[in-house]
Amino acid sequence: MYKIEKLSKSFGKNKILKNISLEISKGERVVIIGPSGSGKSTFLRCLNGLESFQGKIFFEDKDITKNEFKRMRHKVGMVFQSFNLFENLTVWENITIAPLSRKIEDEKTINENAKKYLSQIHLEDKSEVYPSSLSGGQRQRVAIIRTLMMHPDIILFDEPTSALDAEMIDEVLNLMMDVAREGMTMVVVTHELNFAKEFATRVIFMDEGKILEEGTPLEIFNHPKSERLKVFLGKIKH
Amino acid sequence: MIEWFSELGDRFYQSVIYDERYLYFLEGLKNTLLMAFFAAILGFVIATVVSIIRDYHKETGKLKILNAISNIYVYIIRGTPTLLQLMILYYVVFRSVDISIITVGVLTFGINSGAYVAEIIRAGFDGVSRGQKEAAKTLGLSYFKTMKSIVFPQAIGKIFPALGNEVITLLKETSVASYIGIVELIKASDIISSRTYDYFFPLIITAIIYLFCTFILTKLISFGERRLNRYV
Repeated sequence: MYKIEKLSKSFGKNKILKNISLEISKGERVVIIGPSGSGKSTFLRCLNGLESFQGKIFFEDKDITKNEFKRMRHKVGMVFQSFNLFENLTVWENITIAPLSRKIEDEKTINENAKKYLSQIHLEDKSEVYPSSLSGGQRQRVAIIRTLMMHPDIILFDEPTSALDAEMIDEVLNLMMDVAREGMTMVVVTHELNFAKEFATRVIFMDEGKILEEGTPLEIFNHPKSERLKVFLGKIKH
Repeated sequence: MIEWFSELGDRFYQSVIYDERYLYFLEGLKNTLLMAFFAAILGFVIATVVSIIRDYHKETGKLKILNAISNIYVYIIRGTPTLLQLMILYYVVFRSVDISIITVGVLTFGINSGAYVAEIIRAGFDGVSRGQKEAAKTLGLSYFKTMKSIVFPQAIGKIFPALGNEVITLLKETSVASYIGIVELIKASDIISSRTYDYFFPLIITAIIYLFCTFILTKLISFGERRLNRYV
């Protein structure tokens, strides 16, 4: 689904990503872990063209810097750390604006989908409120269903729980689990290692702009090879 | 002192009532409001177009020429006095064109205000968090849909007090139009005092009318601000 070839990125002299190559297949759930500043988020943002970069990225064989990708970019969903719900729109408008504007299906189907998803996250009664009156956990759940409304082929999650209070983290992670059960391809940058163990089909450990290690959750968490990963896992545990 | 007060009634009569001189104030008020109103609309339209061109250029690198024109426009307007702009439009551009002086006034103040409002709107765009545009982008919303439904409404809410301020400035600045003979409020008071050789009431009354107008505007602005920001 995704093919990344020699991806590099620098901000001025600062090299954020160094020559990363990676393939992501349909149905995979890739979790990217690593210390802060290792380039995880930047990597994710490159995947759907929010950042400029050197190298090549192909989504379904389409170069993501070209117009052929821009026409289908709604097929790559994105969930942000800071939710980024449209502040001036109600919850209902937030989740329906894109499908209505892109006319991906008829209005009736869109409305039915919106109702279905809102009830799935138990926020039917919040459809007419503005994001500012929702809790962080509620906002992130709305952001997730807003993405689902576009029927994406893959969803990228950029630290989806990092801005949340502890008691709200689970409601978001549970929804992500539900989405995963439907067979969605997902790439998640997160610091929630317990979640990663349970959720991922593949874990990638990034440090200093490079992929240092990748493997199954078992390989990464129980049998880390590199010293860096061992140190990283040790720090998180204690 | 007592003498001064006892004369006031007569002076008021001479300045306002006699020969229906209050009609000058009404005429002046009408023209002031007319120019301010249409110039505000024209200015807002120009500013919107200019700020969208600049923003689109910033985002995509396209529209280079229009962007350059927009920048030159803002630079020229902000760099020259309004009175000079009015005179150039009146004595040079429309010199041999059959056009009402009020229209020249509206055009001048509209074009003038547009440059300032464009800067205000630009600040408003900058105040909308980057994430709003990014989210719209990843959902596949077009640039124009994003601007129309998300960035612009949010920006307007944030800059509404500044926009209101600009309208108040505009209302007062239309007094410059007296120079080319438009009977707005200042000209009206001037006409009256040139008949009576008495400046007191014409100027005081003019001040009161301006204050009343800006008072109403201020109320409207704070009402509009609350309406526009109800989602916050």
